[in-house]
Amino acid sequence: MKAIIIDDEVLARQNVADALSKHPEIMLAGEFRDGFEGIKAIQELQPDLVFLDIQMPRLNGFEMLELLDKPPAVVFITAFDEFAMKAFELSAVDYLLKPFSQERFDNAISKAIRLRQAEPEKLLALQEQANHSTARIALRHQGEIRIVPTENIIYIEAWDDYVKIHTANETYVKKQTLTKLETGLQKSGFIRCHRSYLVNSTQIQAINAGESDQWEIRLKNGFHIPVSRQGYQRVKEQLGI
Amino acid sequence: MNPAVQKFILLTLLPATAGFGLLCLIISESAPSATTGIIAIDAGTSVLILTLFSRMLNLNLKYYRPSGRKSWIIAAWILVYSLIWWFSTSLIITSVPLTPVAYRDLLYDTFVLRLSLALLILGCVALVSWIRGQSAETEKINARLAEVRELNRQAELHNLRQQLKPHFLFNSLNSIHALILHNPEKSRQMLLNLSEFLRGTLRKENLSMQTVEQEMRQTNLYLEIEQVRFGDRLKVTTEIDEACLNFRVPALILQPVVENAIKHGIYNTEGDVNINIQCRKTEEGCSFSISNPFEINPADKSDRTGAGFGLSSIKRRLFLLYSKQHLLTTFQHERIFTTNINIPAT
Repeated sequence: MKAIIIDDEVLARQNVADALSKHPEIMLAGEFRDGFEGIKAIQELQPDLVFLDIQMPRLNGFEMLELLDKPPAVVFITAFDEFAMKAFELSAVDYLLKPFSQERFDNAISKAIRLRQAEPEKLLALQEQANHSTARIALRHQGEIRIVPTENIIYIEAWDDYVKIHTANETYVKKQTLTKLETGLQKSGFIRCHRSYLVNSTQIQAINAGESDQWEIRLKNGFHIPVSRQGYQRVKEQLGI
Repeated sequence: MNPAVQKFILLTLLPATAGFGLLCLIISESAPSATTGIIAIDAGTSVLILTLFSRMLNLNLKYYRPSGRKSWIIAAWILVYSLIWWFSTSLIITSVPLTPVAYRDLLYDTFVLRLSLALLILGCVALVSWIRGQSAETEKINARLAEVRELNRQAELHNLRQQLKPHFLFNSLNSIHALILHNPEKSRQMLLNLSEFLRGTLRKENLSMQTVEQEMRQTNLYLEIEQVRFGDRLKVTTEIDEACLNFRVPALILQPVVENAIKHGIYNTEGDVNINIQCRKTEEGCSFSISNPFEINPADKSDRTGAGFGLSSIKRRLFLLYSKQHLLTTFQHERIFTTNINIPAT
């Protein structure tokens, strides 16, 4: 069985390696310093188990997992993150708090192995809850990983099982539902103005009565976005009009 | 002497007596035919009623002070009081049996003069009372504003100072956990550094200022802890002007900037991360300069915005302390990001 460690601190990786050395059945295939290295390693090494630190600034643990098609079994490790801890409790995925004991480590391993791949929906639920407030969105675009700051996003459009994320220069596609994105983006000032549209409130220029009693939003770049009746209420509420 | 009695004598009795004497003099000059008795009655009633009305005007203005477009109310009060005064004085004097007819005529002849005099006196009283009330109120408002500002300032500073993140603490503890096994000597040093650093951030008197020497000691503790956490990648050089060592700066102003520099350096670049800290004497006081390597990556703006909080809170703190903008500035030059902090002498 193959395992890798992804953590930005050398001694934190050391701690996991130490604890892992008591498990001869698991081979440590590598140690990596951030989410970017982690993704590459997971694709190349195909580990069965990943010890994953959550707080890694450039691409954090959750964002990294989101970018994987088939996430391996994961033991999450965090020093302190209120939201992540709450999310773990709600989704019953196991996690370790730094520093951890050998006993606690052993339990987490057996649990992760038992749950392996069995419950991807649990992982999804976890990511949703942990994304309490999204400041950026990580996605794959033309063969590379892009990190899109939410302030650069103009609007997001539902597109079957995917969403289209529109920025000033680029349109990105990500496999996710609009509703899931909405929870994380609400705090960043996004409004669900329509079943299929999530709009960045800072990009709104005007709200007009469009054709046949339909309201619509005119964006600063000149685009028009439809507004549903429910959406109109939400827009009014959010903008305080 | 009782201050109330003192005030009464000074503000009421004395002017009234003086007014009485003055009035007697004026009347005896203008009406040589008048007897001493009638002069005393005339001047006495006038002064008595005017004093009473002055007090009333004062009280009026104490409880209701019209201002701006409603100022005419004060003028109306003065006019009404003056008229009442004139009517009551003439009523009293004419009803006294020994008043000669000539004096009654004199009373009516001097109507304009008497009314002007009353208007003048009451006007002065109103003006003084109004100004006193106004300045007392302004003082009260200012005192309250100052208090509110001070409270806000303290609360805000407290918040800004409460920035020791549990994340940092637990990660440090985790590093110690690993070191105990592999390098017990280093783990002891790390534990001592961490304790001293924590004590420094919790110290009460830290709310205000400390010398550059103390500030640097605290910053170095932080840097040593971070060097253990991030290993050999993190290299730090410091150049502190000797002349600055005793200069007083806001406590813990450097740590968030250094934290920022480390974050940028560690996460955005490959290879060694050189953090340079300088402190130089300037004309106004003292200037810190903290630089770190910086990777320009247009696709990844998130880190810059994410790190913004640390710096904006320092900006705010500097502004609260010195009421000056632009004490903290940043610039980028050829992959080196530099933060400058100017601390003025107080």
